[in-house]
Amino acid sequence: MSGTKAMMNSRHNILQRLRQYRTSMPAHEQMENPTAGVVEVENKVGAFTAAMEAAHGEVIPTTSEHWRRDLFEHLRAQAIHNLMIADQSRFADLLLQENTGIELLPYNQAFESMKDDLFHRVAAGFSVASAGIAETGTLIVKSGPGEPRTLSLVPPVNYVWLDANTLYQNQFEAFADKEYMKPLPTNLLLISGPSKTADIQQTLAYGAHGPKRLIVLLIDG
Amino acid sequence: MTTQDAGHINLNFKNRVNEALADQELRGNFRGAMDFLMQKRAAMFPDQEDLEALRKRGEQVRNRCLQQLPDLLEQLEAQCVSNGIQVHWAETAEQANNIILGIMRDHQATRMVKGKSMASEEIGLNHFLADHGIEALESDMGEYIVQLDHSTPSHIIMPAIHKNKQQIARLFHEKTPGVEYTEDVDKLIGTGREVLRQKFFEAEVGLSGVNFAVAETGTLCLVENEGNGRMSTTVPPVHIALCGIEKVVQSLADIPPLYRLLTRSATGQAITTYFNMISGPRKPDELDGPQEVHLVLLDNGRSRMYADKQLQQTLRCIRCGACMNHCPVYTRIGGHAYGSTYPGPIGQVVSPQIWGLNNAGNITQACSLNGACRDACPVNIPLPDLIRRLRHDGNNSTAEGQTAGQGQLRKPAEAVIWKFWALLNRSPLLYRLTLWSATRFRKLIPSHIGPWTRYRSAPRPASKSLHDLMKASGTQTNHPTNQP
Repeated sequence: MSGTKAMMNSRHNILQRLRQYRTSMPAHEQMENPTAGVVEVENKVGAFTAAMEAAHGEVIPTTSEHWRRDLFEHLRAQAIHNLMIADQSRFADLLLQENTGIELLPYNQAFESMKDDLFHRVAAGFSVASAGIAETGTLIVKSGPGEPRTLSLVPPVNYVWLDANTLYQNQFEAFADKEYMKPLPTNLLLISGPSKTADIQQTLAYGAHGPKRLIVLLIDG
Repeated sequence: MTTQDAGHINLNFKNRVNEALADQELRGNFRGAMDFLMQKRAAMFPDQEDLEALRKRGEQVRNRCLQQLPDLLEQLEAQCVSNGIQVHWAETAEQANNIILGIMRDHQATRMVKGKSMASEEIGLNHFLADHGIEALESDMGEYIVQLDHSTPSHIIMPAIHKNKQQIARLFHEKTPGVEYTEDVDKLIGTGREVLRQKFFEAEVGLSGVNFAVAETGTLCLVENEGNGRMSTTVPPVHIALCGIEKVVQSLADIPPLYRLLTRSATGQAITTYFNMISGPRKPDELDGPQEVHLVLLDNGRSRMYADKQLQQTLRCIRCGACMNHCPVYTRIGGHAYGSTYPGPIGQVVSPQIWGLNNAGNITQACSLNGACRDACPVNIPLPDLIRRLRHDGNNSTAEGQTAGQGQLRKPAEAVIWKFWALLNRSPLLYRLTLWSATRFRKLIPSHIGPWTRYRSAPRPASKSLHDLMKASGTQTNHPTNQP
């Protein structure tokens, strides 16, 4: 195919030019300050909560015993009438068996079949963060069979479960944790608040394209 | 924008500048926005020493990655392929456009939704696709506003920064059926959200840019606040990522310092809402995500920049826009006056190197060499030095660089004047004669001298030169014929 051939030539030409001129690049220098930008965080729960709230996210401090009760109370209080959870989520069995008056919708088919519901019917999605970052109030969500990426993106409200024990101090620490980072999922997301924009005259508005509200169930104890 | 239609950057540049300067509303919009962004950035870097250390770190990380660029590109390709991402290479804008069109055609796709990508603006993708019957819709709120207005971004981070909310309110009211005039920003964003959600729902292909491509893991990273980048890369069945070849970093550990510098320098945010790391299409056991992910690696002049010891520093850029936010010229003339996809100081350096000095070299004149951009750059690119270098190359066909159009900005009259100036300063007799006549005949200098006197009064030499005054006061001058 001529297209493929042309592309192979492009690849060859680009790499050849780069190799030819590489000698002009400055030699690798010893890093002058390898810890520049690293901020240590002592009170990780406090820092996480402050940063998340500053970004307009909501934090519900709770425990491994009470979080389900707190979640459903919150849903009722906010008049959010349904919640979608992946049926392969680690909490699916626990949540789907609850009888709380809130409609629980399982995400149990390929996106193509769920798309219409996700865009037009689901009021809130339930996600599980596999870790968090204290300094910036960040949730780390890894996609997978139990964690469809659209659940934290398409519905207008996103509830996220986070264990305080998994908080890293800062992004440097998280990204240096090889065990946690390998293998990378198809989609690893850092989420630091509800979707927002300042594209109209620098005026901050929430709920641009993603969730308008981000509610963290922070499990501490 | 291909090289053929990039000629308009040089054409009418002065007219565009004059029009922008005369537009009080535009100037107000930019002044307000730039002051706001500068303040936000400053608040994020309270300690100058810490900032300098982080900038140095950012510079060194970028230099290390660029030093290994060809190897890292090959590693990135191999990793992406093993992750299930299809990799394409494009030497030129035309090739990149055709690769993207080819992917669209393979899927019989006619609807594309776009996350923000300056590289796609650089190659003129929207026009190219429109010519082939494909609708490419911008989904970043700023880009959407600009597209609705049939215009182009005036800033690389905040595309609609040239418009105030009244102007946007009118635009939405006029261009979107059933939308009432409102200046309520939440309502305006709500309208954009509603319109674009339907487009995400329908789109067959999503296109995004790339902020960092990690060679070690084959990961494409996108930085954003709105969620449109996530929508464009998650909802449509096919995702195409367009990535300049300089965007590669070696490993995950390279990201935190660069990301920290990027968001703080760009919008004064400690972090953006989303940092989206894509390492492959949907796996068989997953429920969502695109079925196909394509990575288009774009050269379009970048390997030429790489060849030059000085100009290669251009490639360190992480596209934060801080240089334009701090540029007194950009603040006054705005982004559109430059006529290029990339405005402001980095645009003055990048544009002539992509499209040639003959097409885009004139914009290097829109710089007072004040150095504010250099001081703001998170990766220490010596922008004023590079601008000066390109001015030089534009006037010298024998310059060493590889930039196209070298020597083609040379103006014969200007060259003659400088030759005379050099001669004058080398010859003591001629110099004294000129000085003598300038002081004696000073009143003969006309009061209107072209554009200079449009906003200023004409210069008038003093009646006595410094040499005359010193002589009169009895001060000895050791080198009476020295240059002033």
